[in-house]
Amino acid sequence: MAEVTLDDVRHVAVLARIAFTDEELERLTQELQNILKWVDKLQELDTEMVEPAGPMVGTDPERRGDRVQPSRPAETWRELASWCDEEGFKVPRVVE
Amino acid sequence: MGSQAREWTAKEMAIQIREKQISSVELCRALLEEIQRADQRVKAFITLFAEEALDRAREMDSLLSKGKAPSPWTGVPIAIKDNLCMEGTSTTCASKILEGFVSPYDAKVVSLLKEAGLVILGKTNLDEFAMGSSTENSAFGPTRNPWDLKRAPGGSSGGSAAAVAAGLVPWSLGSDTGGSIRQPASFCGVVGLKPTYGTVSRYGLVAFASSLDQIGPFSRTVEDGAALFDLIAAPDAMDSTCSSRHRTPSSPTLSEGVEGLVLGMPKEYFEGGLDPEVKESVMRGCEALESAGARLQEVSLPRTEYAIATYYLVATAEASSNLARYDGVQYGMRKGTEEGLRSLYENTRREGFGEEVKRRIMLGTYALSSGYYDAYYLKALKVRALLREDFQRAFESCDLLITPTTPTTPFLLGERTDDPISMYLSDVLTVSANLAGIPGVSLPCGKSAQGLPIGFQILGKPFEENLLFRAAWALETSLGTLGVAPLDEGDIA
Repeated sequence: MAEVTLDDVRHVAVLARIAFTDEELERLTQELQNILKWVDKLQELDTEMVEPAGPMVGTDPERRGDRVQPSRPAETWRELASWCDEEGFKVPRVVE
Repeated sequence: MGSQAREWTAKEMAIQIREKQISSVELCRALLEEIQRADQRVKAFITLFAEEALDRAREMDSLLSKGKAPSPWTGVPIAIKDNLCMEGTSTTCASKILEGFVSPYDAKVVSLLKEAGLVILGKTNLDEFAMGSSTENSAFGPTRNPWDLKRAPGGSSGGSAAAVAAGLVPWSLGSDTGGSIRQPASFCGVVGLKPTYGTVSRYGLVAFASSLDQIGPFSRTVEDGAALFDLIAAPDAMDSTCSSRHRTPSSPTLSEGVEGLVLGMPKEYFEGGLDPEVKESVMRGCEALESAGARLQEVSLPRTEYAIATYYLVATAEASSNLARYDGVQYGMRKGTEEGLRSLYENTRREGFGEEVKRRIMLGTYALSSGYYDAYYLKALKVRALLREDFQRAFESCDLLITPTTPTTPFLLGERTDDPISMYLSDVLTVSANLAGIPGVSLPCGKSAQGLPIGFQILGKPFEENLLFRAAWALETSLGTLGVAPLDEGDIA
């Protein structure tokens, strides 16, 4: 099993876009290590010839007709964020 | 009338309303008073719609008096889990990150409840984003088990289960991703159904793990559970995984019995860390079904021991992707705008998510990341296929499977919060049904010497909820229900 290092966890935190303190990262490294050690049990099973599970069997999904439907007015979504105005959602500047 | 109303089933309420022995307003007011009184201790609700619910009840009374009731359930109160959107109300998912979020639309199930004339009294507590097995991972504090306030109600739909067990509502809705309806139903001594994947629309249910999530009913009787399931199981073009197949309602066939049915007892579910009292009680349930005419047969689901590990990879991987949307840009909490866009994302998520949610996002992101995808996520999908195969094989020789719902009776609040793996193992007997997409129901089969509920699980082939309910009804007819938890003045942890 792969050893989970502090650097791995730091990298995963960047991918997950969550800020952690060094102390929290150290604790997470230990926790993920424990969970993955336990999850490693799956390696006991030979799955070389097994196809990964696809969408759920037996469902017969309802398909929508390809028709334009009315959508909710932009105001509906603007009301959810005080930082949204006529032009859109305001975010910190990304280009100078 | 207040405490009396707590005891009534949804069916009894519907009949009394229809026969004008009570109005919907009187009934809803009585239950709202009960909630005000008892929920200080149980903490089942996050939001109560006191005024709005009474207005709605008044509207239903008026329709009833004009003979225009939209369904036989008109005016009957209900509660819904707070990960279901209801227009104009907050949906918190028990998370700080959805602070200030007001649902712009109704979930499909909420529309169906409204169309049937039900009155939604409030939204119930859960583990944050439905991630947990005890309703302790809530930004609003834990819910307590009405049978013993020092103990956990199970989770993640602990609020919905506890509200029904305490008689604060006759029925409620929850969601089940790995056992989040059946495990709290077992802990709280009520009936809880996880339908076949694709039977109930997930439109408006806040996504946790999309290939596993299903909405289902809680109730104190099998009859009420079947009736609520019949109300919410409908095709929906807004959920591309929702089945359009015609289904026959479950309620009319409830009493058809189990004569001649073959009930499989998966031996792996009766081994290992099963509490002897749980085993004894479930065995009595099995014998009751045998006496009712079913034939019992031992079967094997040989790969059961791999289910929890598979679940915690598949569910966390899907969660890491589904929860990427909470980034402080479009709604909810927003932190860290001063230091740039990355900081906005990272600090909003740092402040907004609780510890368990972060842990699961990290695990899921890790399992999907470059270099680990094959070893973890892909491997889990392959084992998921094998678990599904186990069920297909078992169902070749039996009609239903009967098992305990949980290996133990309800644990103490705080008992498992420091050890994620021991908490994950609470779902060891329920996760397989989600991985295989099959339906499962839990109903009480007795109590332990300490007076704690014990749950009996029945699993079926896809779309065979009617058979599930028939067996559940037969068991309930033989063993009785637990009724409403007395809520004696007890110690509060």
